[in-house]
Amino acid sequence: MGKLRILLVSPRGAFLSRNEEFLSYVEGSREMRTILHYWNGLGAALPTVAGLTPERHDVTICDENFSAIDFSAPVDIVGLTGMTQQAPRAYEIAREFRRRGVHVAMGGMHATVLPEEAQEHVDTLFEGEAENTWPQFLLDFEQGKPRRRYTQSDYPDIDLTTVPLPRYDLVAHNDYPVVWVQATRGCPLDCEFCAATGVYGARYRHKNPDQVAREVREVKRLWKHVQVGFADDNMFVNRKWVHALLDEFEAIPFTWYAQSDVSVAEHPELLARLHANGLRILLVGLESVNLRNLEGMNENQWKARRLERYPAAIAAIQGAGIGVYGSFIVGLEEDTEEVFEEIARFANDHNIMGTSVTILTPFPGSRLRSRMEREGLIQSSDWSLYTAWNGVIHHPRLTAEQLETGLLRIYRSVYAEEQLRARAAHFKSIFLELAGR
Amino acid sequence: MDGHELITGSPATLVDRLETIVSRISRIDRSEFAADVLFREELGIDSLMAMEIIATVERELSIQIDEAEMYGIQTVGEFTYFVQERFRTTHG
Repeated sequence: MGKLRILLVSPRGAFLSRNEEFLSYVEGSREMRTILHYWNGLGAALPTVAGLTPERHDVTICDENFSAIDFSAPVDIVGLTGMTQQAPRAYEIAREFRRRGVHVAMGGMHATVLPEEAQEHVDTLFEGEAENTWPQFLLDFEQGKPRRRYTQSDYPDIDLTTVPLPRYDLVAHNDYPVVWVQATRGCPLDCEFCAATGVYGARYRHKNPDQVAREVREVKRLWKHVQVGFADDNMFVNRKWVHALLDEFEAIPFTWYAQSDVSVAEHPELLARLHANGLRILLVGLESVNLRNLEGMNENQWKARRLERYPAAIAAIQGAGIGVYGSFIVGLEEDTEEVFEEIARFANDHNIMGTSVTILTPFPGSRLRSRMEREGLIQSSDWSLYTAWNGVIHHPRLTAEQLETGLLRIYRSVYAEEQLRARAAHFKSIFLELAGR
Repeated sequence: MDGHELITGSPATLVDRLETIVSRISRIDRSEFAADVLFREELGIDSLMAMEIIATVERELSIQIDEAEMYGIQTVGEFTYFVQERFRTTHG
């Protein structure tokens, strides 16, 4: 068949709450707008898939949050990805292209965890990572024999060190504040609420340090002063690899954001190196300040065993000049009406630089969803509400409205003017101390 | 070199010192620091980095800066001018 014309699409996402009071607050809050501005953006999936596509084909990427889809574009294949909350829009897009006779394929998180549902809307479905299956699909398509489904588990395990350079150049026209790069896959913690383990597995894998450095250089070549965000769920699990990565980063002038568990705080030399080599903000999944909630989260009690050390861990990370962006969940089993005040107080007392609070959401593919389905605790499976800022569960003590308005109370507290001033003074004292060393 | 050693130096020395600090913290090459360049929008310097810059400038140049004074400052040139003025009024 020769050259294929391929359009890869990231469907429009809501990323927000249905609660009008919350929306109004976000609209009027400079801090909330800044947070949303920075944490949104295109994931590494579509540039990675484009990188896996043989050069003889013509690939374009449309991020629908940035530009409208041209449904009349002459294309042979449309490839869709998406998180759960993007699924309804992905299905609309699929319907429109299929009506025009275009072959529609879909992969990504939602397609992987709910393949039977997604398959109904597309011609070809991908389960799991794409490194083996996407090139095979293209070969089959060229021969006029595309299969209905490609499943990664039917192929050899993926060696991340062989993944080609993602095609960031295809989205370089979009003015992203943060560009997300993937250096590792997998997380050993297997938290009950997380669906990522079902896609990437618990086995922790990483790219080569020089390979990651090449990707960072490519991003910085295309967007001069963009922040690089590492999309990895838990980036610093393998300390030896992290040090090798930092050896590479020493030669690259850039600053970056990452996500990690709190254990990084136990390594002061590593924290100092991370800051010296550009790490500025670290998103840490603290989840709850209630021990019984954390006890139910990991089978090995990993997070529960660290709750007492949270304040010291936050102080250690921030004391190294790295801002902690603490991530919390409300609506966990033991939560009461007090939870909103407890989280706000904890964040304020410990001067956490940024706070992200979401409502417990039973994402498809998570152990949480299986349990809640068994217990009849799922209130809604309207995927457009699965932004994690909407109440979609039956909680024993809190209504969906209480969860949504409580969430707003936390944000109002932690981003109140007096708290911002207190936090600014706290960080100034940290940086004065660091500058004096 | 601290603030007192800089007193006898030229304004160019102060600017040089300032740019070195901003470059070290933001990890952006000094050649990018044209006077009209916007800190946040063009250089990607967020509020945390800005605080680190302010604290380091205070410490290394022996001056005091109230963060509230920074609210209206958007460009490299405005920041340089502000620090020069504060340095002059502090150290004479």
